[in-house]
Amino acid sequence: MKKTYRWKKVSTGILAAVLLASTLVGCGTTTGGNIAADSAASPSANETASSANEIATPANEIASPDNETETKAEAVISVAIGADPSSFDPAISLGGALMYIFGLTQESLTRFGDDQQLVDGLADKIEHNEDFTEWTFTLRDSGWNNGDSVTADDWVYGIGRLVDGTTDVAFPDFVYEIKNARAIFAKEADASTLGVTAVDEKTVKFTLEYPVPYFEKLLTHCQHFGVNRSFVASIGGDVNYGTTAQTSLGNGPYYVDSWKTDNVVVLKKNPYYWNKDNIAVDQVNVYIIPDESTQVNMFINGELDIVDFSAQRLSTIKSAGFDAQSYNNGRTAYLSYNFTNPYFVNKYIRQAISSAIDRDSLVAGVLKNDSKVADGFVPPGLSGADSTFRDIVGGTLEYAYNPERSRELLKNGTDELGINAADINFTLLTSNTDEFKSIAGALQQLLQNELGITVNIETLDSGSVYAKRSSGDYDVYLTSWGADYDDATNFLGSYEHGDEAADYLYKSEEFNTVYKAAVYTLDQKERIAQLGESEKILLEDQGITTLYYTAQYYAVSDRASGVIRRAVVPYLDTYFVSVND
Amino acid sequence: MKRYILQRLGIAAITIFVVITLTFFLMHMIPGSPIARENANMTEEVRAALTSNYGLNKPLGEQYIIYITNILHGNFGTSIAYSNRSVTDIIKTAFPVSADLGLRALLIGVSLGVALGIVSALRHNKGWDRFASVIAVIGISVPSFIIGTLLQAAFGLWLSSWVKDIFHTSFQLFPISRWESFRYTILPSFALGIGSIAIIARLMRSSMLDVIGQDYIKTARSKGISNTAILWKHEVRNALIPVVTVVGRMVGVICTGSFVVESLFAIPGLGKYYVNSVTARDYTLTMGLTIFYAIFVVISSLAVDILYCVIDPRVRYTGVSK
Repeated sequence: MKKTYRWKKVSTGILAAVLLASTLVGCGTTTGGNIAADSAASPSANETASSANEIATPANEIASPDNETETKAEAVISVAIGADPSSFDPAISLGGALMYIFGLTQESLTRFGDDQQLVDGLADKIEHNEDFTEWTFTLRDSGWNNGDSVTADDWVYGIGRLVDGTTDVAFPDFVYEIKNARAIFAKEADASTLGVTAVDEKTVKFTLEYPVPYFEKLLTHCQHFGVNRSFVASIGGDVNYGTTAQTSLGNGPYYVDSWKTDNVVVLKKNPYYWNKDNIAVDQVNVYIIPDESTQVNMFINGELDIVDFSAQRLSTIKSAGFDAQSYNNGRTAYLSYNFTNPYFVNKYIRQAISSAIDRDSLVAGVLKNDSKVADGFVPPGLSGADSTFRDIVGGTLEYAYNPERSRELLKNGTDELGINAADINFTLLTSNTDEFKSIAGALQQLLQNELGITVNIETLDSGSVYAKRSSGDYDVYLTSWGADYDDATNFLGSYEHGDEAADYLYKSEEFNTVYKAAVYTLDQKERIAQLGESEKILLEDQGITTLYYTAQYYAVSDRASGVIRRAVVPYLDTYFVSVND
Repeated sequence: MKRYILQRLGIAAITIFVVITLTFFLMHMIPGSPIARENANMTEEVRAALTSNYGLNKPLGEQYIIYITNILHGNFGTSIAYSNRSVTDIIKTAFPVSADLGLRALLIGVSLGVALGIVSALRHNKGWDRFASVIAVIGISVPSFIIGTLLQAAFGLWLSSWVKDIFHTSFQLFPISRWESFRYTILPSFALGIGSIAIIARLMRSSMLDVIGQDYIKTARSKGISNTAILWKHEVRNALIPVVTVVGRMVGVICTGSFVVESLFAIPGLGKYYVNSVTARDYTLTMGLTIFYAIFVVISSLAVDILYCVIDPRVRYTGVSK
């Protein structure tokens, strides 16, 4: 009996040791095995960056003493984005995270300077006619990263391919301000009639359908980028453009040197870029890190130079010794009503809802970040004429939080409809992000407490939310909108609906008249004032109920300086960054 | 045996066909469209052009027939959300990574799980057994994203900052995320494998206890066979049978990618495509992944059944599946 026990003891020990050893040995063999080799050889993995060691990381540079003895180490910064770019073709790429990369690899005729002011991009001379319908750009001497010169034809081709059927999946409506763009896409006009022409090799002329005083700003958006015709032909045509690092081309300060799907995009300095001497950073590693907590951990560990994070990670960042900063990211959160809903057809009901919402409590109690209570729709940070839109127009929200007034308005509304307040019952549709889920919950409670009306919440994935929204299958939804380009029309233009538009949308003769007048006003200051008037009408009607202007926390490593954050795309810009190791 | 395998393959083909058909129609039944944009201001001609690009303007029945014809020709189509990438290419790129991670996790799960199970059965109700129970409770009840986050914090952040302070080196033994060399794989493999350690350990323990009490063990002992021989030839081998069944099922789940672990550790695997393709209503990708997953599960369960025969001679298939 005693012997048995000892045997068991010995054999157990050996067994455990053998199994543990086999785990380690087993893991080791798998590394060199076929699976790892396969993935390295797969088409989208890039030959230039097949191992982590080849990509210089800032951490390596800080602490490795070898680098200090070298004459001039390459300056490298690392940034994270949340999703794979999936394509570097500006015609089909609309992902928000990609905009950061496009801001560095593609330069338009104009670009943003080290604040939100527009500066010259690849064009150094810009002229327009009196009514802003004809724009002429003279190009600088600058090059694509394959050595080709930037020419006027890049824009003739780049815009043309969006509408003439060259690209399969295009968003042609983003360039509809250009003469005949819509007609060509609808096959009502010949492709040669497009309002983009190369006057000579270095001069490109745009003819527009209607006056666009902010056309320079539209150009910063990726649908207005130039594309190199001969390069696209050399890689076997349009379907291959932007699908790998080798079939992508940059005319900005950087180009895509390598791209490993869902892993890392390495950007290197474009040697043919006109301003290359003022670009301090030689290489940008853009890691694809979907999880925010992982990004924060990497940042704290010195693997990233910039990180965006939500309020719940503020203490983590601060306790790691970093300064948390915050910027206005140009989004406005709001409620959008269905105008066929029996309650929301009534203006008083919508105004009552707006007055019942204590926006301070949403910002301070729920969001707990630097978001601001909305006093209009167009967020602060979007430019106007010589100051911002909001500075010029001021607050336009008449129905701010006011519980007493809210109950009066509700009474007016229920009297008109002949119902009791307690009968009001509707569903608030929202997508399943943390922010919106908690805001929806807070709204449910606020409206119940202030007005005694019942709000149900329906939380769905964004795909289902978009589907319901575009078919009018909702009572009211919570959403937010951010600017594609730096002009208030990008916000207010969505509410100009004619008679033919679906009934669930906001329709107002008065709004349409004022908005249209604003669009055709050539004087910038007056145009902004007019747009402000149209915003006032929208919010007087409570066509939408605006809630707050969003803010985003971020932190920058001690070694990097010159990081720019903006209220419009690109939200993050490292053009002016320098490192100090 | 041959007939049995053929029969199973036939059933598998029918299963896969049913899965394809059901998924196809269910996918198109849920509201939404792959071309939906955040702002609903898409003009009519753009909508028309996009829907006809993807063949979404045809009647559903016709789309189904086209799809089936295509996959019979080995063409799984192009992803809608990941423009210009074919479904086959996405699977080819991402699956090896998921399988790699999954096999590492399984190896950890099976070896540690079986070891813990044996030890706790032999040390029934003693210290080792209790230790194994604690591991099992943690492994089963704590979700992998919490374990993953803890591993990141403990090994990626704290350990590396100590190492940096003490040795003045920037070498990162356990990187926080990404998928590069061996040291990158350790934390995610444990995060994914710890659940299976727990499941397998509990199963192995109860199965061992069951076997130990069997008459044939007593007989073997009375014949004077050594304890080592009894342990390995009779107890462990017999106790492994239910474990093999469970592991077989696990292969299908673990090797095809985990959304949580892969996104936490930024691993370029297949896991996120399952979730994202449905959210984006990327019909072709969802269909391709479903077919792939179905084939994988069917084959791995067939392999389990065959392995079963090999391990346990008592199991004889005579046309009746277990």
